[in-house]
Amino acid sequence: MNNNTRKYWRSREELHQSPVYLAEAAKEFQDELDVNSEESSNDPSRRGFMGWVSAGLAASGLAGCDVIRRPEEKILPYSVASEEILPSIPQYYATATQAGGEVVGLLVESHEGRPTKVEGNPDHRSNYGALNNFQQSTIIDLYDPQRLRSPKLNGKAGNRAGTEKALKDLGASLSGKKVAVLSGYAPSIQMHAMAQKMSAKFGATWYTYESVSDDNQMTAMEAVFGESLRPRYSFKAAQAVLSLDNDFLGNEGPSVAYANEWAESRRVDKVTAKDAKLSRLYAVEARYSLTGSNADHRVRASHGQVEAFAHAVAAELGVAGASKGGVALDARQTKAAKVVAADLKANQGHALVLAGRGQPAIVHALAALMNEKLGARGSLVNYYTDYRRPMHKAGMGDMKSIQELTKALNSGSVDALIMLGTNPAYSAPADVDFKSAVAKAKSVVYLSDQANETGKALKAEASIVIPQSHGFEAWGDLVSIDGQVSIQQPLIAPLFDSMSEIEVLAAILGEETSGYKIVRGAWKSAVGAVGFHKQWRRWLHAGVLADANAPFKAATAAARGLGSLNPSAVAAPSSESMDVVFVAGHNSYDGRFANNAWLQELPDPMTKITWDNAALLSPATAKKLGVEDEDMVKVSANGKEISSVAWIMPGQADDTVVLTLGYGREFNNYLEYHKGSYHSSDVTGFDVTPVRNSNNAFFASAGKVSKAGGTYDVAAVQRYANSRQEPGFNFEARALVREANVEEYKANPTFAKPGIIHHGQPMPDQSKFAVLHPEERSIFGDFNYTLEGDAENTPLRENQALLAGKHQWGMVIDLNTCTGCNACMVACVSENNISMVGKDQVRRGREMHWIRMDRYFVGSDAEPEIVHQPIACQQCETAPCENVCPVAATVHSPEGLNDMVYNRCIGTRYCANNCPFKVRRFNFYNYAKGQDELVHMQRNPNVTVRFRGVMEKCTYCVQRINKGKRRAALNAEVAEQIISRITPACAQGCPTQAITFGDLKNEKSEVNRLKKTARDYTLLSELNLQSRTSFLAKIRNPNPNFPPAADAEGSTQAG
Amino acid sequence: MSDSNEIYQKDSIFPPPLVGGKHDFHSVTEAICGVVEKPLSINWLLALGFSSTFLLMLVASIGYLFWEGTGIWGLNNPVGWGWAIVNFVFWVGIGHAGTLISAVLFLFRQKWRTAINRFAEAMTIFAVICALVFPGIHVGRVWAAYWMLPLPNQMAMWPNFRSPLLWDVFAVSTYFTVSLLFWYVGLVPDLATLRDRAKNKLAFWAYGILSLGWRGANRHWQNYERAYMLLAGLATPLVLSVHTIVSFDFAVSVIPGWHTTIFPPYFVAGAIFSGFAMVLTLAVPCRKLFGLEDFITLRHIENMNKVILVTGTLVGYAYAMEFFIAWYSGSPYEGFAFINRAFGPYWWAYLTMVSCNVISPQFFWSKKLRTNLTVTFILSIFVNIGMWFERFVITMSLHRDFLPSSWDYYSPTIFDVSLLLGSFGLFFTLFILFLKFLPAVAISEVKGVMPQADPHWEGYAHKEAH
Repeated sequence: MNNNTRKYWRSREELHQSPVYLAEAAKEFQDELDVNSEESSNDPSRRGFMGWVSAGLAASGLAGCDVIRRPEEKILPYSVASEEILPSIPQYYATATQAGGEVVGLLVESHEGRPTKVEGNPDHRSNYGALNNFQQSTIIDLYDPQRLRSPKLNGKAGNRAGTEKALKDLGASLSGKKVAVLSGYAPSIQMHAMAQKMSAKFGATWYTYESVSDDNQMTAMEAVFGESLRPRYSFKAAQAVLSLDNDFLGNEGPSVAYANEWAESRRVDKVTAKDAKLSRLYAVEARYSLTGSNADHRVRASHGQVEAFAHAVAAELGVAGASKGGVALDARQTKAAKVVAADLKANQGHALVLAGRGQPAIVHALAALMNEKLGARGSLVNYYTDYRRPMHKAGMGDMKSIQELTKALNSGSVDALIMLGTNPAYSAPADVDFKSAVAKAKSVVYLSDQANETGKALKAEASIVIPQSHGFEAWGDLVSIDGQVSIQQPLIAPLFDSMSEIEVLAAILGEETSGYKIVRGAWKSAVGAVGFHKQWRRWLHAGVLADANAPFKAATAAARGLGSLNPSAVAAPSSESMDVVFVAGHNSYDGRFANNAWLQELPDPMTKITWDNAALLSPATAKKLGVEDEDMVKVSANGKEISSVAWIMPGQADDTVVLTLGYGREFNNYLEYHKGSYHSSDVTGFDVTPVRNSNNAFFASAGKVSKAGGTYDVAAVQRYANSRQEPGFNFEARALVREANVEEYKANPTFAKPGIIHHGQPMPDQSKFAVLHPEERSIFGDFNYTLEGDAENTPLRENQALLAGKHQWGMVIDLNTCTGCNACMVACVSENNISMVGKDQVRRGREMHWIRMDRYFVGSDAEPEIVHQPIACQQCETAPCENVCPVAATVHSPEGLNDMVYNRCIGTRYCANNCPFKVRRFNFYNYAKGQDELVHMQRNPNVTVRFRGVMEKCTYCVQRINKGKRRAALNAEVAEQIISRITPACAQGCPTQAITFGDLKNEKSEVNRLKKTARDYTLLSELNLQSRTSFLAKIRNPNPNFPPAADAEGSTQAG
Repeated sequence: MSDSNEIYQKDSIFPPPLVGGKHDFHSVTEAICGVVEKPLSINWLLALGFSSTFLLMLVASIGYLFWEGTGIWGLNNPVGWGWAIVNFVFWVGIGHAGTLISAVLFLFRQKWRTAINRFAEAMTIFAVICALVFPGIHVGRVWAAYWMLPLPNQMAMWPNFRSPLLWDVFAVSTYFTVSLLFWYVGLVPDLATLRDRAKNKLAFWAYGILSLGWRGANRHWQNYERAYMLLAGLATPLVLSVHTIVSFDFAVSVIPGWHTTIFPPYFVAGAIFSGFAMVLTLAVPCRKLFGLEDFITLRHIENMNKVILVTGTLVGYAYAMEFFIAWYSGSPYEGFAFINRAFGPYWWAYLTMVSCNVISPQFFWSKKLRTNLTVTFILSIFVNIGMWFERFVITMSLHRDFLPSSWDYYSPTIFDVSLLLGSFGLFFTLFILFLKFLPAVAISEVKGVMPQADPHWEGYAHKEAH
């Protein structure tokens, strides 16, 4: 210290230069987020010197000539900084969405004000924090470049203020006129209130129409309970479940919650093998549904036989009125019905019967009565008011509504028609000619997200067409099936001059048109002004309201009997008179998602077809008709005929054609490579509504399928030929999906471990799966992730030195709970900015999904079982992709990740060739080229958008890992919890939590616990890949008394 | 020609002479230089026009590729390498015969090589040029392809020395450099001959510069022969190494059908096989068109056919051994890969390969057939086709590997086809230019194997002196 200088000091610590102070001062300007600081080294090295010299030379050379093309970008600062928004720190807002009346709670990620990703709200009982493919994809509907952008007021372009005025004027002129309102399912308290007001002020008739309707269920519930109720099943305590053509794991009911609960009833990882207890699922169906593929026993039956099966089981259970209906069962089915009934009875109180929306009302009624007999009501099934129709009249189902509305329009008895969403001109069955009827309305208000078929059918000069606000732009409230209320809060101001449903109605009613004021005001008056503000903020934060605010409670009435319902008379199908079954598309639903590229490119979980639907036929029927995959066929039913493409679906009932709704619409091609030689038009798939009839919307008998000549290119990501066991092709020896039944599992818990065979020795007893390779043991000893670096006593494995990171990431996928629903695929697309490539490119085998769902058939052609297996990068420790890259663009991180360095990649594609799992994806073109700026808004700013010529693949969501590590570095005291909460998008989106991710170095981590369970195995272990992703083998729970499957030929009598 | 053939057809215990006809040193020079010095013929121009049309197709195809991306090819997810790599390996294989004939046969003092070594070497150079086109253009980001070279850079990044693709870069570029040097050194005395005979200034200057001041001095010859010997010694291991390393591109991977230890010898045998076939495909019409029958005699052709027979049988053995090992290994993936190769979706390619490569050379057991020019020409084309298909069949092992869910089928697009045809355009354009502007037969070397060059030759005055 210099005594001549006056010394100023800030604290006594500084004055005395205490060690604590010195340590703190040294840290002051250190990068506190430097999570890998132990590796940093600033020693000048020869290599570093060379680098600087060459960089300098290159820079001086390049400075003169403008050879580097830099994209011109403008950076604009906020002129007024937004409150609460920190650049690059995303915000999450709780809201809710619904499709087809199924409400789920959401947490939406928002980057600098743009919503980018949809995640589930864990507090919502309809999805428990997960989401299905539709719900996750809604985000790109918000940024759809083909959204309607400005209102058309009687043919002239307008704006929001003009629209509000026009609506107000219209409302003023409506008194004494005949007003009709048409909406889709709207389970919303505000919509119900608006409906009441519309009725009170204008005497408006409210019609509710959904193409994927629940009319059959409604009819049955009105007959059995005397009121319109909906069953909410609960699978957690179920032991035996019979699904009569109900796809509850697919898209019927709150399927995310159902899948979650059903998986809980089959979870075996928390108990020892001896105590393993699984529920048993029987599925009876004509089509092959996702639920059918997860069933322990699937009974292949024609549409009419499902009803007969229901009668048979109900009769066994002693349901009064159960007789013989439908199509007679064959001997095996009869026996199966007895066995199923016995099993249900044996599990009294833990047994459940479900009926599918395509089945006639009598089947729903029988299911309700069976549940009554089985004591399921009140525990496994609760009945709630069907809240999806804002104004319900008994007997007025969806199809009846659209029939009556069309009739009213044709007779000229509608002066003003207000349509809120829905697209009946496309989706209404052929016998309802809504398209020409709607043109007869004197005045039409149409709220729509797109310029669709209905919009085009309107008379422009007599209609007000308003862009519909996306759910993330509008205020509202939504009520789930069991009455849980969520506030739907917007994430972003409307991008265009759009309005929400309640705003339109409010404008017509001449009321306040701000959605915020309507919703908040309504709730304020409902719960009282005292303390409302706090409560309101709590609701918005939590996303769900307390059960006290539910508009209805579980019904207590008992099922009374079949009422007036009669068994249906259906003839057995034959090749001359085929059954036609209509199903809601797994990716298209009723067609509303036609312009959603994520869903169009998502393979159907059963057929693996993208961008199209097909006429599905069983192998035997296809053979009889002389058609093969991709042959054009004509399908006629209800006196009409359509063209479609044939596709063979093993396991489907014979003499039955399954048609998927929601196709034949235009995809407005915002993908550069959407069209090509395999797909020359904008239309995706085939419209099946022309052969649909509104009186029986999901089924037609006496249909006919004939070969039309010609073929059609189908973009299926997996063909039947590479899904089945073909003799000589060693399919079974690959042991990719390992499964056993519960008895085998109990007897031999380690059955899934590879049975290592040495030459000339028999396979060890403890395994079912032969793997021919030397024992999996390194000459350097086994690697123990949890060991601390006691170098003296710990034998180092060859690659251990390279895996020196503080965390070692790993993943476990439980095949026992994976249902194959594809939610993980959409979650991954959403998180990682994965390009959609269009049908032509998919057909060429260039789809970009980082995680894919493999499907394999097991057993005979006629009645195979199906298994699903999600495959992403397995993050091999000894990754074959890494050593073959000539430029070291794919390298291993110290934490065990197989990193892909995009800007080093030159695209030799050798890594993809050498990947045994074929999970690497190559940008053959610049797929992100030419997209509307609107689409860019969805992108996750933490993930690079890959350019043409670059390889990409699953990263275990490394951006999420790094975010977690940063946060852990900042919050040392809760670091462990933060690290343990790091979750990749796929695991987060999984409805059944089949995917578990975590740190292998943490002994207490969930992933370590699962990896230690007996069912754990890795794929292709004989290649000594040391994959970080492992699988837990699938366990089935077959009934030993169930009649065995007949051989392939004998069982074709099902139809 | 006619009498040399007659001599050849007779079963003499003496080998027929290496140069037919009644040639002396001057007539040899005249005959070979005459090809170069004659005015351009209309046939030559037509041939050049034809081949350069295909060359243009190559240029256009590559231009579109650079503009659009590798998506214009038929590649897909399991099949990341298609015709570009097939063509690369095919052309590298073709490029084997030249150096083998020149260097290895030179070291073994096989004097019959002299007549064919020049254009076999030229063929090598051109084939390797064709081959070198593909690794550069097949990558996704061509503008960064130079990262495969170990250049100092600001990222302090070396290429990955564990990657077979990198070994490939070194192997093929070394082979090209040495082959080019070897060829050029051999050309120097003949270029000087052309310089001395030049009738116009342009030719004089061009050949003059290229012949590096060659005066035919004793010292020049001594240095020349030493250099030639050293380069031959240097080139010989490269003949074996280059295709060994190309085979590593496949053998080092884990893919069933690729991961095979037999690949290095099998690829080298195949390369020699295809190289000789290509030499014959070119030599048979050339000797006729340019009147070189006296230099490229039936004895040469028969010798080459014998090499084809031997290497073709080796390749056939390798095919059989692959199957045996696939079964013997007990690995279900290996077993499947080979069953699939023969009976799967690409059975037709496998059938083409086996019939062209294994069955067609067997005709050469018959002396009558292997000395028949028509049969030789046709079979050499078959071998070329078969060897292209061999590389196709091997590369297509990708289409069905471990996980059946990813299995797919590869079919080429018009741009794959234009690339293959275009590479032939490049090859023939270069070759046609070579035939016209450089001596197609090594003049000085041919003279060296003529009886007149033998100090013990009993002709002319020498004989009379006795």
